Amino acid sequence: MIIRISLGIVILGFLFLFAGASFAQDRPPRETGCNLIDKNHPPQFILYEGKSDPSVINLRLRNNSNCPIVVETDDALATQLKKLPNGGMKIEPVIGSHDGVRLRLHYLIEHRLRGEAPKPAYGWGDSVFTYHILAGQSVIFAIPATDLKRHFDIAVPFNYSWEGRTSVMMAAGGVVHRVYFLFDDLSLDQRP
Amino acid sequence: MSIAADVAPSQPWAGQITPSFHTLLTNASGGLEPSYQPNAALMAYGGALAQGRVTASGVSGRSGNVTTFGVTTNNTTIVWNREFFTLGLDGQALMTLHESLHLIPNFSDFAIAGAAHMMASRGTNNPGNIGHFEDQTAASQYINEQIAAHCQP
Repeated sequence: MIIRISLGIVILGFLFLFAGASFAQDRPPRETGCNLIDKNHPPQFILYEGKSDPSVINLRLRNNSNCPIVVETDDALATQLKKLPNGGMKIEPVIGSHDGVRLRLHYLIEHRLRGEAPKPAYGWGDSVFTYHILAGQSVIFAIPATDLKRHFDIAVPFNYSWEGRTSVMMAAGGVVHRVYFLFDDLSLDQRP
Repeated sequence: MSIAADVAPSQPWAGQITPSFHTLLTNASGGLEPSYQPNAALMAYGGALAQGRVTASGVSGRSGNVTTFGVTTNNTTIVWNREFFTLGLDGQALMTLHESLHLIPNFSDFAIAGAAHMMASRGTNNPGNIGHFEDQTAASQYINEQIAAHCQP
C-alpha cells in the first residue's frame, strides 16, 4: 500500500513537472519591471558630449531603461538651445521633460585612488529641484575640465520615479543609485 | 518679501509665477501688516507635517566644511538633516524661516540673498544692489547671516 501511494506521488510529481515544462515552453517570458531599451548599453550611462570651451566639458546622461528616473538640480529651470530663423542660436528655458535639455545637474566627484567618499562637486545650496528623465531621454550637463584633469570620477545620483518623493541625495531606505563617468572613459584626445 | 518678489523673476530662467506680496502685506494706510494670525500658520505647519511635506532625513547634512541643516525641494517639501535637531530653538527658528522662504516660487537662494543684499546695501540716495555670490551655498549662507543679524531676539 505504501509502495502504491509512493508510486502515485511520483507519477503525480512527474505530471506536474511535465505540465510546468510545457507551460514554460508555450508562454513567452513576461517582461515585468524595468527593461533596457538598447540591449547593448547599461540602464543608465554617461557619454562625452564635447567641449563648450577648453575649460568646460559637456556630458550626456541617458536613461536607457523604460522606467523614468529622477535627478536633482539647482533651483533653475532646464534649458535648451533653439535655432532661430536667422541662423542664430538662443538658449531658452524648458518646462517639463524633453530629450537633450541642459541642466545644472547635481553630481558628485570621487577620487578613486584616495578611496574617499564622493563629494558634491560644487556648492548646491539648500533649495533644489528634481527633473524626470523619461524612458530613452537624455540630459546634458557641464562640468569644469579641472574636475577630470585631477583624475576625478563623476557620479550622478538618481532615483527611479516609482521610488516616490524620496530625496535623490538621501536615497530610499539606504539604497543608492549612481551612474558613473570615469576619468578613463575619456579618450586621450578628449582629456583636458 | 516684496523686494525678493521683485528680484526673483530677474533670476536666470525663472519659469514660475512669483507671487506679489504688496497687496498681502500692505494695509489701507500703506503700512506693513501681517496677513496671517500665528495659529493659522501653526495649523498650516501641522497640515504640512501630516502630508509628509516636512520630514527628517535621518542623515547628516555635513559635507566638508559646509553643513546643510535642511533642504527644500521643488518649493514644496522640506527635509531636516540630523544637525537641525542639535540646534537651539533660535537656530531652528532661523533655519525654519530660511527654508520657508524657499516654499515661495522663484524664491531661490540667489533671489533671497539678492533681496537681503539690497536691503543691507541701500542708503538714502542709494537703492542698493543684489551683490555677487560665488555659488548657491554662498548665497544661502548670506541669507542665514542676514536672518541672524535682523531676526534674532
